[in-house]
Amino acid sequence: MATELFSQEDKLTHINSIEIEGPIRDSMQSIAQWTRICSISGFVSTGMGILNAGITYSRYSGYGSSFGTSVLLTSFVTVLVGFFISLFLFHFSRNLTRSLEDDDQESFKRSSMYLKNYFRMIIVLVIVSVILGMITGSTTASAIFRLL
Amino acid sequence: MENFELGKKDLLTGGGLLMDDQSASEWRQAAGWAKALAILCIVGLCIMLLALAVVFLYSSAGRSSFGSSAETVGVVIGMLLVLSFGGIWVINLFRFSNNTPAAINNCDPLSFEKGIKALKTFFMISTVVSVLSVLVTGIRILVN
Repeated sequence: MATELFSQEDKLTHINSIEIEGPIRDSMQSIAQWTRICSISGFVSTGMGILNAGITYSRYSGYGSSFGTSVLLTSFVTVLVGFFISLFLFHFSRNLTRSLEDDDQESFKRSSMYLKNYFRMIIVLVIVSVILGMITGSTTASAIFRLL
Repeated sequence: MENFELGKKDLLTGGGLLMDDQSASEWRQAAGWAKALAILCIVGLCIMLLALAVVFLYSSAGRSSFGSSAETVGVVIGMLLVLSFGGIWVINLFRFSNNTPAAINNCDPLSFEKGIKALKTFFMISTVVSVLSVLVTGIRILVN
């Protein structure tokens, strides 16, 4: 009787949607737990990166101000990108856990958005790393081939 | 009215979560970015494989620049470990990126489950590597 109140569109939406139940829900709960650990580890790594940058700067600042500053700037950019990646992963994990616990559709939408942003940010990091790697790699490779 | 809408949703979904249009769009986009990342990683692994071949060729010709043969063996074992773990990591990322959009488009829960399980394995490996790298960095900072 109650189903008669629903429009055809509602029924179609229900039929054409995947339900987050059973093994899918279990796997998602597991993903939420792993991503939480991964994001916390990322935050710790960010803190260590700041510490490492400070140590490196104090060690190389005597070699000339430009070298020390470039080391500090590169470390700062890397740490900043790393922090945002961990932040997106943490938000994904938190919203996914909330959505699975309370069957909250809004939290599920937000978690999906954070997952997308996480992968997007990693792509940016990979592209930046490849460009920086190519610049430093070309100098290192030329030095190695001179030795060979 | 709001209660009626909520009740309507509960009757339709059994009170559970649904992959609605907006979430589906976000998951599709996430899978697209994941596929781009997987392709970049495959290229990176291929370059690493090439570097491994170069190291092997130079060491077999007795022209190794890595010092002793033990060091060369160490480099080769390390690279093989990275390649095997990286390979599993990339394969799972690729499986997620392939299965998820297809599952959402065809409304196939089995395919979606495969994609989600691949994503779980991807995050498991990522977490283990991340925790290990934090430990190594911590030890390195303490030693220095």
